[in-house]
Amino acid sequence: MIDDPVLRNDWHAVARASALETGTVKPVRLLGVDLVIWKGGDDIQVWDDLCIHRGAKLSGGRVKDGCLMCPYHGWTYDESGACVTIPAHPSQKPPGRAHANVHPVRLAYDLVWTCLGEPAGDVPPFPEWDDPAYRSIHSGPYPFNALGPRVIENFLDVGHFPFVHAGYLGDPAHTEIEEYEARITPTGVIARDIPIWQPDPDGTGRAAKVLYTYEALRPLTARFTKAQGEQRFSMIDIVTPVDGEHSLAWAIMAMNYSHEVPAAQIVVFQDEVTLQDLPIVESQRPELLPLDLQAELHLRSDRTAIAYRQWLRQLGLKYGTA
Amino acid sequence: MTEAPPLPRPPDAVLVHDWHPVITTTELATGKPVARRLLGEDLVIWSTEGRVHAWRDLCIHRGAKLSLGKVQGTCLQCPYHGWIYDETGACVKIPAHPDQKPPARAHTTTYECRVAYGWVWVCLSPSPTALPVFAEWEEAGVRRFNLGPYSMEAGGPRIIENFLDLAHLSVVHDGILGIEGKGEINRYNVEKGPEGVTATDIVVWQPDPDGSGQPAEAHYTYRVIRPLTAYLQKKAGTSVFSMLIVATPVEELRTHAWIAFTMRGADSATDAQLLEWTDRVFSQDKPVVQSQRPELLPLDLQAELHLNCDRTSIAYRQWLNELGVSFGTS
Repeated sequence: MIDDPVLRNDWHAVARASALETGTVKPVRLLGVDLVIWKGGDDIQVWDDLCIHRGAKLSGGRVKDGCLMCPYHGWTYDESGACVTIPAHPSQKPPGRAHANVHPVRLAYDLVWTCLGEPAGDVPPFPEWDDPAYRSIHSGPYPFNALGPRVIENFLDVGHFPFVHAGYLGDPAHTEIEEYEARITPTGVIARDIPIWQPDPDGTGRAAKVLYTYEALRPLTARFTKAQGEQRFSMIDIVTPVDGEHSLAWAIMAMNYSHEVPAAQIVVFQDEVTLQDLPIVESQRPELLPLDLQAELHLRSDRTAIAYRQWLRQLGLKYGTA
Repeated sequence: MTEAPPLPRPPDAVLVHDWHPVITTTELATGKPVARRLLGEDLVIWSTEGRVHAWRDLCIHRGAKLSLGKVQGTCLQCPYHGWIYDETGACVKIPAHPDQKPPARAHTTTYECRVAYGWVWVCLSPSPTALPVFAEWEEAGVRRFNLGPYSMEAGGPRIIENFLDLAHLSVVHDGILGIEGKGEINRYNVEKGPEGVTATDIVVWQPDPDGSGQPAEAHYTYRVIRPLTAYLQKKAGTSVFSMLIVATPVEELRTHAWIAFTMRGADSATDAQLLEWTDRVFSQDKPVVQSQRPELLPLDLQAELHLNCDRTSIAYRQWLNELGVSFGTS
C-alpha cells in the first residue's frame, strides 16, 4: 500500500453505485492496493482482493447465495467477510482466521467510497446533489497516467483556458487574467470570483465574462462554481489515487438552469474538455508536484495553485508531491 | 539579461559531447515541433525559416511538454498557458499578463544543433566534438541514400560492434554479404589510436558484391570514428560502397540506428535494389543483436571469448574503455 499519512485515512471513490447490480464482482485499485467490490444483496462490499488460503484474487470469483465465492477452492465468504463454507471440508466450521480484510463503505453522490485506514472525517461535501434546484450529472471517470496533485492543479487552473480549451472555455484573443485572491482556510483552499471571459459560457452562443469560484476540499478533491447572473454551474472533481503512476478522475456537474438540455450533451462537452487536458497533464515533468515554490515559475494568475501547494505542504501530503 | 536554466546532469561524460542524429530533415519539414529522446533526456526539435532548434522538452512554468505546442512565426508556443519562447529560448510573452516583461527565469534549456547527411544532429553539451565526416557524401557522381532509424531494444555499443563484425556476414547475411561454408576470415590489419580504430585489408567472398550477378571478393575498410559512429567502405570490381552508421542512444538499452550510404558504380544495381538489400541486412541483424546478453557490452576482455577475426571489436572495446564510455557498457 502507498502509505501516505494524509490519504490513508481519507475516503476515496472507487465505483459508481448505480452501475453495480446484485451479483457484480469487480476489481479496483486504490493506493496501490488491489481491492474487490461486490454486491451480494442490497449492500456493496469493498475488501482486499485476496483469499487468505492461497492468495488468489477474489475478484475472479462469483456471488453465490448472497456470498462471495473464491474461484480457486470455492471458499465462500458472507457479507461480513467471514468464510462460512470450505467445500473441501463441508461439515467443518471454517477457522476464525478464514476472514476477508474488510474496508468501510460509504455511499454518496451515487459513488461508492472506501477508506483503507481509520476514516477521520466524512466524504467531501457537495450540497448541490441534494438541492432540488439543481440537476446533477456524472461524467467520466477519466483515467490519467499522472498523479492526483498534478490533475487537481490542472482543474484549479484558469490560465490555460484560451489555449488548451480554445473555443470551449476561452479564446486566444482574451488571455489576460485579472487580479484575484486565493487563501488557505481551515478546511482547504478557496479563490473567489475570478473573472473569466468565455466565448459561450451558457450555451446560448453569446460571449460574456463569468465569475469562477474555486475550492480545494481535500488534497485530491476540488470544485468550482461558475456564476453568470442567476445561473450557477458547479463541478466537483474527485481524483482517486490508483497507484504510483495512475489516477482516476470522477466528475459531477450540477446546474440550476438548462434542465431541458439532454444530459448526454453536457457529458459530451465535458468529455471533450477533459480529453484536451489529458495529454498536457500526462506530459508534465516532474510527475511529482513540486511543493518548493522555487522549483517552478509562478505568476500572479497562479494564486490558487500556489495556495494549493502551500496547503498540501502544511498537511504533509507525500503522495504525488516532491 | 536572460539566464538559461542549468543543464541537467548527463548520464555519460563522453557521449554527452558527441553529435547524435535525432530526426530526418524531411520529418521536420511539416512545421510542427517534434518530441525526441536522447541519453534519457526529452527533447523538442523545431524549425523556423530554415533554422533548426533542439531544446529540453519542458516549459519551466508547469513542466508541460513544449513538443505538444506550436510554432508561431519565429517562436515556439507552449500548449498549456501559451507562453511564447523566441529562438534564443527566452520567454518573450506570457499571455495571462500580456503587458508584463516575463521574468529572467522564464527560459528554456537549449542545445546545439547541426544539419548533415539528411539528419538533424544534437549535442547536449556546449563543447561538442567534431561532427563526423562522411567524405563520399559530398563527392560528385555518387548515389546517396538514407535509411532508418532502426529502433533497437539494445545498447549502442552492441550495435556498433555488430556493424564492425565480419564472422557473421556469411551466417546472418548468408546469400547477401557472404556465403555459408565460405566464411573464413583472413588475417587483417587493425590500428587503434586516440581518434578511433581502423581495420584494413579485409577480404570477404560474396555472392554478388557489385550487382553484376557474379560472386567475387569484396575488400573492406572499417573505421570507428566516435564511440557510437562507425564507417565502412567496400570495394568490389569498380564499385565503391560507403556507409556511415550512427547509433543514437535514446536510453541505455534503446537505440536508434541511422544509416547513410553512397554507391559509386555498380550501375546495374537500381536504387530500389540497393535500399532493399541494405534494409534486409539490418532487419536480419536486429533480432540477433536484441537477443545478446548481457545487454551491456563487457569491456573486460576476459568476460567473453575472442578470436583472431574479432580483432576490430577487441580494439573497439579497448578504445571505449580508454575513453571512459559508461552508457551501454559494463
